[in-house]
Amino acid sequence: MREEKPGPLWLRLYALTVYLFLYTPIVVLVLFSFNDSRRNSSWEGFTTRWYVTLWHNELLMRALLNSLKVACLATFLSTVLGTMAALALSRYPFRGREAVGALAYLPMMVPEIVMGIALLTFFIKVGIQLSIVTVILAHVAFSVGYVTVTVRTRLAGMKGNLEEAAADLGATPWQTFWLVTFPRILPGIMSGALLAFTLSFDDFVITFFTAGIGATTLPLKIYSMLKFGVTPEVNAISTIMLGFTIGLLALWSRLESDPKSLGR
Amino acid sequence: MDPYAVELLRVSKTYKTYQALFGIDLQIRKGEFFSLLGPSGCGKTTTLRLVAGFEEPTSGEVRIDGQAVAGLPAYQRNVNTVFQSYSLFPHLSIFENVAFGLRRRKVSESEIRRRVDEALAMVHLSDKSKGRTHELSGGQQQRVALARALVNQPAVLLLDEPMAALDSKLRKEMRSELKRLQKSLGITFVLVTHDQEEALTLSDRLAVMNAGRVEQVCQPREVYERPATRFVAEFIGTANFLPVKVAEISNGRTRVNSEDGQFWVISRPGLQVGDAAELSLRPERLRLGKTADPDHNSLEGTVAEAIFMGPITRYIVNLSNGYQLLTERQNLEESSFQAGDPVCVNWDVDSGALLPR
Repeated sequence: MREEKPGPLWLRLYALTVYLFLYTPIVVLVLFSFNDSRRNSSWEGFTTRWYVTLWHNELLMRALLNSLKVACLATFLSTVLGTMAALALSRYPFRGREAVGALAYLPMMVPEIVMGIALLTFFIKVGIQLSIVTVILAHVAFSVGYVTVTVRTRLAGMKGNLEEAAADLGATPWQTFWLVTFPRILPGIMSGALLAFTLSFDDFVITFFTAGIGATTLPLKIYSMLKFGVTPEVNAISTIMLGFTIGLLALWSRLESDPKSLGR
Repeated sequence: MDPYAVELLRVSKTYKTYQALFGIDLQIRKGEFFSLLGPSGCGKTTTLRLVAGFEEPTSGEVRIDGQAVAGLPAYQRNVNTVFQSYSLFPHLSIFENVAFGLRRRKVSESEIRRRVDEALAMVHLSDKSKGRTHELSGGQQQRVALARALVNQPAVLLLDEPMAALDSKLRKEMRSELKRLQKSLGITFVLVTHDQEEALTLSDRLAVMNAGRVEQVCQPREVYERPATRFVAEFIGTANFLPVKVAEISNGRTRVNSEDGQFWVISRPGLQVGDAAELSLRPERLRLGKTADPDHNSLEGTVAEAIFMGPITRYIVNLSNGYQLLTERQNLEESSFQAGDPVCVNWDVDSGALLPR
């Protein structure tokens, strides 16, 4: 076997620079969330008091609760709708299936700002008062495509005619879905749901356009806190969100890479 | 009581722009081992899927146990299928795979246990019931698929190329296993295959299909010795074809004329004096000799090539008019012919088959 040679030195240095550029700001942010000083300019010593302050910040906690509410409901709705769409697209022939399938991908391509403005205009025209409900609807709108795509991939990967085999053995279409199809595509559904949750929990732009009074989510709250400069509290809450998101993504990549994780 | 397990009456099937079946008729008797044999794309799998209920015919009627099944979905038909790809449920244990059909029919737990154990014992997999399907070899997976279908005691068992994915040794084992099961259970088996040897050794009767039509339905021996069409004669084994003209018909025998002389052959219904026909001759039925056998059909020629193949030698004989005949001769004794030897090719009256042209 050929021994794998590391690339030339300049290439390795280049790679290192790219990673430094990407991650230094994040590392600095995390570090300063533990800094025993009100200012981000110099290191004064280690503390966890900013995390305690966060806990007692009622407005921030309310924003976190809003974010969780929105993310949970949006995830649930987009997972159900996305799974149903994926099933329709891959199991039932109907007129215009190709077009509908392509449209499912569209919200992923449309710039968020455009999506935000479009949704805002839509809600106003239809006469829906902006509130937490409009945020949830907006989040469902942009995350349903991700679920559809992941579940469709999983459906396409189902080997053999398992559904025909189930029907052949006397299972009604309903039983076939719950006893055979669903257990096989569950990893895809879970991974779609995780993706939807992460996207919803992090979203700023679309939420900014569609949130009504009392519907301030965590990203919106953080943004408003920035008016007083980047405080250690902002660093701390950002660190928590970062950890949370990394955790979810790690779980997601496990589901995606290991087909046996839930399917067997 | 209706004698047929499955009946197809003028069944056609058309997909968007492609016609898969052209009004086929089939009668499959209760308790028989029936094969649908043909090359890929001949419509044999489509036929099976129409019986299983995965597809509906475009026209015509399918009957199972004497009942028309139009509109009856697959899950309400009393037939079970063994798929080429096995299609076992990977998220269920082997026991639950076999129990799947019984659970759908709300059979009691103790009954399920008894019947699944019985079915697994039948295919020699009792010790594997708690295992997972991916722990099994291809042959074992196929036996689970067989048990999963047979445990439901269907009126008809449909087998879609069940041995295509197995290696040749396993395939032979599986073949005798299938025959044994079919004999002991008495269930009607319908096997789809492109493997002529499989169809000939297993079937009580078989249908040879080609391009969406049934060419011939009969017993294995008859399909080989009395092929109905040139397609059948060529698809099953090898054959020589000589163009002939019907000259005389008497007492169930027909005299035909060819450029090289006249031969007697068993009559074929439908052929009249004066009709153009083809004489199909199997290589192993042709005897080579130094002289013409009196009272037998005979042709003179020259050995063009002698190919030694172990138990047999294959001879290619050039006829005077440019035709070539392929013959096979068992190597029972030393004496053999060399290339360039003049020979007589002899055969019995009942060794040839007449085909319409």
